[in-house]
Amino acid sequence: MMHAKHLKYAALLIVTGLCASTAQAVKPATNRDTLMEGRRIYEQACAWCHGIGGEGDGPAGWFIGRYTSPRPRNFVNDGYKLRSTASGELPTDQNLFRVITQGIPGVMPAYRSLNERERWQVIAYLKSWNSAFEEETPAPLTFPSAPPGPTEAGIQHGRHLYVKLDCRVCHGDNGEGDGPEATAGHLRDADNLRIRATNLTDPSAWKNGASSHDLLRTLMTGLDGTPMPSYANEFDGQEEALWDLVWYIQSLSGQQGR
Amino acid sequence: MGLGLVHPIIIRATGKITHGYEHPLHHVPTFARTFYRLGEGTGFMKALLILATVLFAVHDASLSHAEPPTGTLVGRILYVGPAIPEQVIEVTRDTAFCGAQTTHRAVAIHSITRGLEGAVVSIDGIALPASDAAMPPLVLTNIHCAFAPRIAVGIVGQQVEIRNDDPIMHNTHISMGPRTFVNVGFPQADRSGNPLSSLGATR
Repeated sequence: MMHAKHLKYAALLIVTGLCASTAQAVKPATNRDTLMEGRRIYEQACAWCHGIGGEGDGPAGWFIGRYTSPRPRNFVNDGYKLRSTASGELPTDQNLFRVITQGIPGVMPAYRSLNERERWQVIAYLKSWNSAFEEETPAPLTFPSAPPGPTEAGIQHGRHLYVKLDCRVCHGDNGEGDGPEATAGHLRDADNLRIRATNLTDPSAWKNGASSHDLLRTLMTGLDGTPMPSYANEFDGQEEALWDLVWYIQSLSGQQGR
Repeated sequence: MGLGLVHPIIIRATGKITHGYEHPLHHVPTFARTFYRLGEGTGFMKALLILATVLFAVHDASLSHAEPPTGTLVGRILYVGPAIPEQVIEVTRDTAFCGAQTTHRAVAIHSITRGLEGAVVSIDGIALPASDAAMPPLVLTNIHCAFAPRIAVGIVGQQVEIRNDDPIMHNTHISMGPRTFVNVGFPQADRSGNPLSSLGATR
């Protein structure tokens, strides 16, 4: 009986130890070895677009089109579009991990072919180019949890907010990316390149993800380097209204609540 | 508070900017370790600000002794080049409120004195003591479809409060080089705050 109990404790200790060592292995400490390995992986997987020095000037950039937006990220001094942090802030490590893992629809492939440790090594390496990562501590915003689901009244309220917040000016009355600012060519990115407004009727093309939580995050953080602003201030304390807007935008593609 | 000497301001810019010391133009606070610029602008103005930053040097040894390195800088920055016309900008949104056109002055020059309005001089090369004094927020207001003030100076860590006093939606999108400082959407009569996080010019 005692023997069995001891075995149980021993097994528990082994499992706990394995979990701890796995967690340690997944996100390695930022040291010389990590950076060297990150560099090796980066130069194989990332440099084609982002450039050997991380300035977004890799040779594949010429195929993308030198004057086509979006350009590959410049890791040396650009801001970041896809974050869970406030407008103007750097992304968290988890944000970077998410982008590398999931890719960016229509723009960047998903790198699930790299194991998690390799992805973290690449993140450590690309962060090493920008000293702001040492000086700042990006903190994710607090996102409200989702209500049970969309209601017709909520969607109607979301439509009202869509107009009030001028979403239609860029995304168009029906969300097809054909608002007057977009069709007139007034939308520019941080490189002053002309960009299109996202077609909200086609979630497969949404760069920051198409789930309701992804959409909510985009509304809260904005997309730095593009004309898409953050509405976190507007919805402070009005989580229900924010979800109404999310449901309405999703309703434009008939996929509300996913 | 000790007063430092007035040092010559040397500005070499293609726009024929000169300098003089007859009258105070700017009181440059000792905390003015960063400057930033707002609104629409041109490379000319940017170059001017950068040159003013780089070419002003303080060599007063007394500043490194017992007296805190503080002082008042007085001077006048004159513009003697040809007149720079206002730029007419087509308004593309909310024309019912903002009007169909607006004008933008890249450089504002006093018609009589030729003094350059809104010049910012940054002093490099001296370490200033940290101040515990709480700084009021730097307020940037969207009013009549333009930013007011157009140019302001703040310190790292100071809160920048952004307001919208217009009865229409405004986006306030301020950049620091290629990086976004803040990009927020404001319905009418709203405000938000962000701390200045680093040195440099923001526009």
